[in-house]
Amino acid sequence: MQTNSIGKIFSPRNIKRYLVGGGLLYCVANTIGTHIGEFVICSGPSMYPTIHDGDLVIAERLSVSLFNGQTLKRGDIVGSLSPYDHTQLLCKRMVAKERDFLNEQLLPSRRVPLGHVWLEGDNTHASTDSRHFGPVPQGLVQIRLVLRIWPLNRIGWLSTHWFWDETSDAEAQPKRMR
Amino acid sequence: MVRRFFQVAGKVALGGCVLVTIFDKIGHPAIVCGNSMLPTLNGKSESIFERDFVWLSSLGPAYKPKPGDIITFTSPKNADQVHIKRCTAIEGGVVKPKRRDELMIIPTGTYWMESDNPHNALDSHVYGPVNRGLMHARATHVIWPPQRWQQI
Repeated sequence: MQTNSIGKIFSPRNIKRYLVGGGLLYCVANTIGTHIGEFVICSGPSMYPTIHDGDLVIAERLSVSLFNGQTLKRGDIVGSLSPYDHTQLLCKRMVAKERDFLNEQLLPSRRVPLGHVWLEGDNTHASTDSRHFGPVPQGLVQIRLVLRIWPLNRIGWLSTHWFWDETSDAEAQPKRMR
Repeated sequence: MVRRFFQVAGKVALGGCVLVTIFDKIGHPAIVCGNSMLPTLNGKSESIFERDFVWLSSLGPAYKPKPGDIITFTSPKNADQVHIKRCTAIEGGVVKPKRRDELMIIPTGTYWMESDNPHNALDSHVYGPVNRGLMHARATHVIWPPQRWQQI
């Protein structure tokens, strides 16, 4: 009786069904993860008061995959590939977009170059960011962090707008926090 | 009727997901636009059907571009544009940008991408070395027109 049911579970027809189902599940998960959004576990001290080490955050990719990053606003917390190592995702606050004025040593022209963004961590002393490696190309920005869901006592929104909200060029560039 | 609609919609969504995954993980065809890769790839014609179609195979996360590879990447100067250029020097190499007088060492994690057409200016000589994170895929075959069918 038992051998019979095990034989039924692993019959060639059922094995084929499991493989097809697994393949479809992988395709759906991959599509959602690379084009719509995903869960991110943040590690490291660089965004300290806003995001602690080990927080679980929902991040969306639609503002990058649908709008090419046009709807990212200054002050958004974004995940960007590291300019040195493309397998690493850095979580930083986008302080300035292209053509913004910034008084930084790494910007000889005092402006963020075309197509680049300036990323900084909230924890100024423990963050490796654009103050070390300069402005990063906007194409490296992959995700925008939206909602912190774990730990539950600090659950809350990290962004103040939706991914389809247009940025207006008239929007004033915010003053530096430092 | 409503149930039938949801069944069909679910199948269409599943098929779309499979297609997107194949595009992302394996590769896809693309049309060359512009004359920057001219002896190798022809895209200067107004009509789409006189341009070259290439097969782009996606780069795995561990892939390291080699000099000679033709690679597509998001332009560092404009996130809306995707460029196709030839990698001529890799990280740690020494190049001489046209606009500067001194030599330059390519930083870690970046690659020097150049046009094949010497008269086209918009390449690493203008916007500097390109980050590995900006790269998407490698052109492996010309698949159209048929008389130019070849491996690159």
